[in-house]
Amino acid sequence: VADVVYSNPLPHVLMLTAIVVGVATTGLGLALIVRIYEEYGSVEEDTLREMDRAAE
Amino acid sequence: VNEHLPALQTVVPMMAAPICILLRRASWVRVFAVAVAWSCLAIALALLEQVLTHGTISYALGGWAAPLGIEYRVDVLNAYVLVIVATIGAVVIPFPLDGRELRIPRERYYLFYSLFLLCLAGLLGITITGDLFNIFVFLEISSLSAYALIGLGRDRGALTAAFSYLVMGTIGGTFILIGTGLIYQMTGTLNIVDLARRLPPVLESRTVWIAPAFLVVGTSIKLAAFPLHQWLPNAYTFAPSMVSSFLSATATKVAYYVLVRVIFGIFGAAFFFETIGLSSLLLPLSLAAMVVGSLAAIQQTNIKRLLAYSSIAQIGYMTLGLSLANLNGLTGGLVHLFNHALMKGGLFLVVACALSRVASPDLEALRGLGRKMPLTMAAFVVGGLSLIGVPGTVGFVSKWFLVLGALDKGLYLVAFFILASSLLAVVYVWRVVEIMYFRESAVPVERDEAPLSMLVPTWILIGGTVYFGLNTELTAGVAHTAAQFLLGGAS
Repeated sequence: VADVVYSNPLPHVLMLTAIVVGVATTGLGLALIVRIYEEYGSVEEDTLREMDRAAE
Repeated sequence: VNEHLPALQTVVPMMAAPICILLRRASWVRVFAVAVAWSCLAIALALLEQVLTHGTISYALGGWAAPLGIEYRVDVLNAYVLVIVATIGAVVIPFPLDGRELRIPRERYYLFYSLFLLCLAGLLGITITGDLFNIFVFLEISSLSAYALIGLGRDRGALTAAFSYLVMGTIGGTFILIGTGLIYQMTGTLNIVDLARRLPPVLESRTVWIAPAFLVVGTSIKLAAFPLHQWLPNAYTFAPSMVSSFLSATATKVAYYVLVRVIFGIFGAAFFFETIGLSSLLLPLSLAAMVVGSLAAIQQTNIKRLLAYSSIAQIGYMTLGLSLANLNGLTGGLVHLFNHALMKGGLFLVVACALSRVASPDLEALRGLGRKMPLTMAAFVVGGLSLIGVPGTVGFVSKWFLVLGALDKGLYLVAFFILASSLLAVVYVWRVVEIMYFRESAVPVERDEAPLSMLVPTWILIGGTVYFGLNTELTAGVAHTAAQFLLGGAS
């Protein structure tokens, strides 16, 4: 077995997990953006900040 | 069952989360979630008891032996943190959901409990695992559910707060991942115990020098250590109060645990405090957090934001204990984990009680509340005294150890800062007390107390701040043992 060249599977698994986490994060982030757009009618950060300030 | 307790600690809440979605009925789900949270607490207490009597527990998940398999490793330190997280979860979960604070209708409350249990599972997982990559995965599980929980707040600001927390939290998580990757590249292992063995020979390499920078900055973002705290005030202000209570009492504590584990468990205290000189950076930042956080809290007009800024100051105390890196200082930092969890968790629950009767969390709206809700507001006073650090409350115990730690090192100025920032705490606590008790309300005040189902969890936490302030054996004792274990066991 010592002479067989094989690639280490662990980094693949780590990367796959990190990709899955990344997809989940992006999904949640986009869902939040959709909700923000529904509530504020805009996704422009400056506009959001102004609206928040006006509400205070 | 006993030998599988470490696995059950995370598996039980994680499996319970989807079951909540199947159960659907809000009343059933609530009872079920409470049962799950309480069994988590029972498991955590059993683990702490086992660790204190028999020493460290190592559990090979799925039967795969460490270091290749994922190891769950419970020692005094993380058994203690597990108990903190599980206690807060068990006390906060029965707290009734209030439609006035939540964006979702009653038919969808099951989703709230599902997220809550997922968050609990993630936090317990970070704490119990002995595998660096596993920490990252659990961190993302808890963070993602925390973002969603914060986004459920009534005010639309909750959505932007959740989004900016998501951005900051993901940067933090990615930093931890990069740090983990760099370490793996040099050592070929992810197991924390194995890492502590394999790192010293390669400690001179530049890759290994960069890794702790990523890990420390990443966890500091999650910890909301000054000056990486910007996400915290908005998140805690707009989240439903019950969520603020849970997160302020657990999420930052677990991040602190990870930081302690990275410093003492992986690289060793000598590397961080002697080779790198972390204290010269962490100490001034902790002092700045204590002062800036308290000063910012004094200026707030929203009680939740006030408590959030006070959290930043309190986190400063914890990192101060860490930067002192001696027995008393570290004991103070660790015992403050538990103590701050009790008081800030309790205070946010007080706010939740108040918001069941008052329309807004603005301080002005709290006028005359001392007569309207005497029991609730008495809880605020006791919790506030604990934030200040009055003798007889838990806040005093933490500050006592921190001052001792500073004096052991001959840092008289630091001891002075600890006392000075306590005076600042007096100012912001007094502002709230004055408005509640001494300002006349615009409308006539009638006694209208929060329901018992809200008062009981609140008073359990607030009562805990007094009980553990008088009876320090349990908390300070365990924290002391954990600090000894870290300082003695670290190579």
